[in-house]
Amino acid sequence: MSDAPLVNLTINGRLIRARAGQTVMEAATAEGIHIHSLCHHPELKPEGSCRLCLVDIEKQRTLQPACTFPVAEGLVIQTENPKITAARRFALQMIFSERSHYCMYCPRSGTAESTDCELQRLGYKYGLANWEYTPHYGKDWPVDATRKYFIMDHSRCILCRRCVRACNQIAANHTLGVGMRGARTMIVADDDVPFGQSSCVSCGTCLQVCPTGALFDRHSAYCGHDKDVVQTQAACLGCSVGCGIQAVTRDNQLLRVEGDWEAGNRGLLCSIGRFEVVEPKPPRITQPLIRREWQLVEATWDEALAHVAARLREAERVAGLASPRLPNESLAAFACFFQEVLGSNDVALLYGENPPDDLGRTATLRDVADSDCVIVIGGDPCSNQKVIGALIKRAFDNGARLIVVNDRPTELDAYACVRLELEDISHAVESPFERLRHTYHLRVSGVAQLKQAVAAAQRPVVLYGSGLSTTVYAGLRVLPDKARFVPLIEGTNTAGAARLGLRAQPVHGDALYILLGDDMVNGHVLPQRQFTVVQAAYRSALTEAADVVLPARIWAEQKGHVVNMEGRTLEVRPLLDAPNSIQSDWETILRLGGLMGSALSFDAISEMSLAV
Amino acid sequence: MPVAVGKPTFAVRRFEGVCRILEEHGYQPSRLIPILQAVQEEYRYLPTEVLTYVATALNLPPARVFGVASFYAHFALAPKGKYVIRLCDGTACHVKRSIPILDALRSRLGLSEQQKTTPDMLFTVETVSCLGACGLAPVLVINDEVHGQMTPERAVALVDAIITKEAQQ
Repeated sequence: MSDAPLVNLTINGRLIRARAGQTVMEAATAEGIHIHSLCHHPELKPEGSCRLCLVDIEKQRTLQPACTFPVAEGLVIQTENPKITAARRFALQMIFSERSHYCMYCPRSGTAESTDCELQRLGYKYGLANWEYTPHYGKDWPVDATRKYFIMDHSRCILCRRCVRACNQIAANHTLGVGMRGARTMIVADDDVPFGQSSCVSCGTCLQVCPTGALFDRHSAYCGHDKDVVQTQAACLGCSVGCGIQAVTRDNQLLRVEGDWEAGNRGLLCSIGRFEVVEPKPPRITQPLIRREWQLVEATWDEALAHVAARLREAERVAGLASPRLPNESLAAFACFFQEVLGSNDVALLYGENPPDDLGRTATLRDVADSDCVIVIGGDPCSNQKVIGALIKRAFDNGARLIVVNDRPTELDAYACVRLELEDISHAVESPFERLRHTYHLRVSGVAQLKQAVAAAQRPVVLYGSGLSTTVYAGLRVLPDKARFVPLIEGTNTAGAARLGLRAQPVHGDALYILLGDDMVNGHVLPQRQFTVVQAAYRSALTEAADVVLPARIWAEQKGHVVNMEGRTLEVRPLLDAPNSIQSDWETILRLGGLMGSALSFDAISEMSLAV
Repeated sequence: MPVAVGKPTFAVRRFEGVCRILEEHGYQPSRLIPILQAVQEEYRYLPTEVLTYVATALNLPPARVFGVASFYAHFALAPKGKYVIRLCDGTACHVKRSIPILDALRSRLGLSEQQKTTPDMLFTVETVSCLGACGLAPVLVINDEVHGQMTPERAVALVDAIITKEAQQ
């Protein structure tokens, strides 16, 4: 698009230049001229269904929708005049009379200044004080509340089809569609089943683009208008993708999480990042706990830290386990504490494996969505890095070839044009035997097939999982230089931890220090030690078995940095204040270091985490 | 990739017709409408499971196939009777008094706006917007047989004749 020829046009008497192929809406928006619209969304392909963006174009018989009209040399366009206003009012009157838009019950309804509903805002703007056409409320429009996290009220739907397009174009999930016709038109899922029983994966992209209150979130409905809440750009810490989010907070509560359109994930989030983060959690630990007579009882920080310091000093060998969900700063402090204070190198991650990152140039999330040949080796992005899974499906929809190499069946198999076993690509150097088989067409080497696919593609991207054999990684190293790589890392900040020298490995010691943060590790059974201290935000099986429990901050209260699968350092911003003034992990560790008679300094830690 | 195939069951046999139709159209997503037309010819309506099957076979989202099937009045998503009576209620037929014919047919067969098919699955009565035979207004079509210049009495007589014929068989 960027090398398309420039054309000159006039909008509201202003001479502007635009690229051929752009729409009038895009050209106007780029010049800061706002054109009203309900169905248009910059991230979606234009549809032209709401007729609110009508503009007056000279030499055109009728008013034209700006969102679909392509720019051309010499166009003279008016975006506001009495004729346009009358047409918009007419369109709005039709929309308002179509279904039951009883605003007072809607969570997005507000005054002219406070409303979050794009329809209501236009209603105020164009002075719609009464129905000029008899409202068509004879039909009982259903409310579909079968989905866990959000609800669809069909009576508030204006059939802009933003949700349908978001489901198809952004989430590439193809659940939503349009059923019936005329006044009976409805947004349907699959073959008209309730949303909760459909192929919907609850990514919530439809919810984020809905211009009215037709789709609304169960958790944050009626919790405040956009002007009452604080929106903070942050990073999701759900997995190693590290999606860009807009966190919506109010009164130290996380109300809702929305996808950041500017980030690599382009607004898309998964159900974990968008909805699970605001779901009810186990009880929070706000006070240090010490086991006394088989029971965990509350203690003061001084008591608890002194107790921990004494027991750690007594111990023969102290081992440490940290969650890969924690930021670099916490992990650096933890590693420092073990090295400098305890003189132990028995420190590791609870889980998470970092595949080799030197296979070639790294791809970004945008590269994955824009690729024309995606190769997935090992891993299961559709379950573990759902946004990556959706980006792969989006690339597939845009015509990319997909090659899946895995020993286990995954959801992506259905999209793959070539499906190989890991064994097929475990032959980097062709053995004479392999050459023999090749000569007799017994089996075309998998590596040769991958090489061929990469060579034929313009923007090939290879996604590879962890824990594969070295011969597989060796096979990937010989792919042509064009290939760009993304490691499918397990655990949010496993890459950052690896740079600090922390990996998942067994630890030995008679005392154990677990830095858990807000991680939920289910089914992790640790062998009984002489002494276990757990620093965690929520009560869990691990804290119940501990001798001392120290409170920790949750992801939204932390400050620091993490490294995502692209190898990018993301900033973790504090969105909420920690309750009961719980300190950050590194502060707790510094205090503990001080009690144990060491000069661990903040500077050393920050230097170490900066080096990451 | 070899796909595990079990023994043909009743469900598989039921889809044989759909498979043949899909085969004839070369599994082309662009031929969705002709495929649905042929499927409707086969089953007299479009059962939901067949729609899902067609969607999967053509690699189309089920929502898209349902959207097309529910958009066109020609496609029926509910089972229809053996005799489908389509009464034209286009402008010409309407002014030539098509509604009294509709009322007469409905009262004869015990049908209504909501219930369009008789419980014995013999008749379905519905209106269409134009049959393109305005010169013969008011017109009704029983399956593919066109009857012009209808009156309520003649329409009921046609229905009675079918009932008698069916009773004899």
